[in-house]
Amino acid sequence: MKGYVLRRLLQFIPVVIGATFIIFALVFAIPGDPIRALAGDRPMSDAVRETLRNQYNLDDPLLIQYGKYMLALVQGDFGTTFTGRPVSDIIAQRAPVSVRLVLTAFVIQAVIGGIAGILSALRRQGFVDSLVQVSTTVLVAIPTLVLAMIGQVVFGLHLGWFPIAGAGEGWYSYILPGAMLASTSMALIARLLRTSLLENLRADYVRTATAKGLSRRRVVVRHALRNSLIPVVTFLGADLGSMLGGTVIIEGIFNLPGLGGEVFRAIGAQEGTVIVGIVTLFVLVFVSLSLIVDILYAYLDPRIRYD
Amino acid sequence: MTDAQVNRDQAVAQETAAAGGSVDSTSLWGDAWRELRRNPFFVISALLVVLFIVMAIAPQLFTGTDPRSCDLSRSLERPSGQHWFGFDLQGCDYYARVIYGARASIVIGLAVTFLTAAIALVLGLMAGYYGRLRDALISRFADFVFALPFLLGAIVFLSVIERRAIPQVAGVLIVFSWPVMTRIMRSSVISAKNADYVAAARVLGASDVRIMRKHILPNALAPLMVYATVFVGLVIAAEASLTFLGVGLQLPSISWGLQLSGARGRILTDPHLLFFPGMFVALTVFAFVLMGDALRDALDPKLR
Repeated sequence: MKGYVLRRLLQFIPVVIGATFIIFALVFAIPGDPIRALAGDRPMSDAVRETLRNQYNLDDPLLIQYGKYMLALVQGDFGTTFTGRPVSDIIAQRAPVSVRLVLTAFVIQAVIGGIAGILSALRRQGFVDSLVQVSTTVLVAIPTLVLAMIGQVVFGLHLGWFPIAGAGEGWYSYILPGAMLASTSMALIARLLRTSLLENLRADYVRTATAKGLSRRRVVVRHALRNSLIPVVTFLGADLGSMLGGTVIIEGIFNLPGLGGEVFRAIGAQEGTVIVGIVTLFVLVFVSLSLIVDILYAYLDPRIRYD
Repeated sequence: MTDAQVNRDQAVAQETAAAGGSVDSTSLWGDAWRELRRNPFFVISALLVVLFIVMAIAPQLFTGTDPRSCDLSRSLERPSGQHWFGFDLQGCDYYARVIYGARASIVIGLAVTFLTAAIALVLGLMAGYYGRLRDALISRFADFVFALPFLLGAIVFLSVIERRAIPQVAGVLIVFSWPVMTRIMRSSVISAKNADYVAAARVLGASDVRIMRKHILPNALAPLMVYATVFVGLVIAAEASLTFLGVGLQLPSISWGLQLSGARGRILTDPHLLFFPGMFVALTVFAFVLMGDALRDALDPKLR
């Protein structure tokens, strides 16, 4: 186990360096003036441009630029806005909203997706199963963007069950955006859990457990379900990336003042440095959480540890 | 095949036929095709896909109205008998706008998928077949790109590109999406590589290229095909999302993403601006995802 964790930690470092280098190279090494591109149509005096070139070390060779950028990143410096405010300042202010949104979405997808998957596997080809099959097919196929806008109109506007926009009503205002963010993953979790639970319920060890007289509930919960959760955990790790990307769309649509909403705003206001800073943070969060999921995975499945 | 085998096969076929069984060729793809024709989900999704592709090639078949001839005095008029989808802010016929919007989505969806699949095919074959150094290089590089979530990477890259039309958006989507397909291809090549028939071909003196082309490729293609079909839908959704966020296609392009972003902020007063492009995006994505699902069911013998 210790060896496995150590190996994963060692693999983690090049991935962080590689991923941040790709972002860095795409923004700062493309032909043309990166400051011009980051600022968009904004008129800019030579003095400001000179300061920015200095700030991003654009007169150094690419590798040195990247080194200085990484060094700043490690110290929590994610760049500054065009008005001189540190991006880390914005991050500290906006992050709680995004954390709440992602947590709400996570709870919704785990609980509803999990229950739907278990019920449809236990009552195979019954009414619940067909319902889950049809609704997951539809949910997976409708883009989050469209679903969120329609959900906003139907549940926020016509039915009036949830606030249409903003985070003014505490946790309650996160339920609708959270559900929309969770929709695709919820459907995928339900399907994944159904498939793997059905497979495990046919396994020999389940028959053994039943034969030795354990109750149905105990057989399902303690034996079959535990093993069926392994693919779901793997999925959750990989899914975090699309969830972080989804916060940009969802917070934009629902006007939530979080990190994704800030990226959405920064795109409109052409504040390139804010976009780069926040996306870099998202990427770091994503790789770190993937590492944690990988380690968790090894606890769940002993087969992983020994290869 | 020797004559004796052929004779025996024919005898078996005759017996099967006499017993009322089917004696068609039974390759994986032949089987899958028979299975697909009977699957109503496949038929529906295939019809939808054909419909949207025709719409992209010849939008004139669906509407005689020019989407760019607009009349400001009709701005934001509601749907009516003559103008089914109403009018947008500029007073353009919304039905014509939505129909013409299919082209950008379909072109980006298909172009990105074909090019990504081509890259994945080559890199997956090299990594899976040769292994060792080539595998390590390709797989590690794929890991780096994979650590950048698709949508986020595309947002950063596109936000520093000033003029964005179909080629730029498609290019950026390819840059961030090839690792998944390459991994799929690599793993199916690895599982095909160890088959006995590959060892047999090698013993007979076949070259690497011939083994890959004749023996590995046909047997490793199915998972890639399934994913590629679903992927067209994912790309179309991603393009609409990026354009909606303001880093995708720009005016004066006609695209569903631009229409959706125009609808944002007007859902209280003009829900038709959201409903029609939203429905078209959802139906297109739905068609490709459903088709991929049907294809997977047909190609996976374990599910039969």
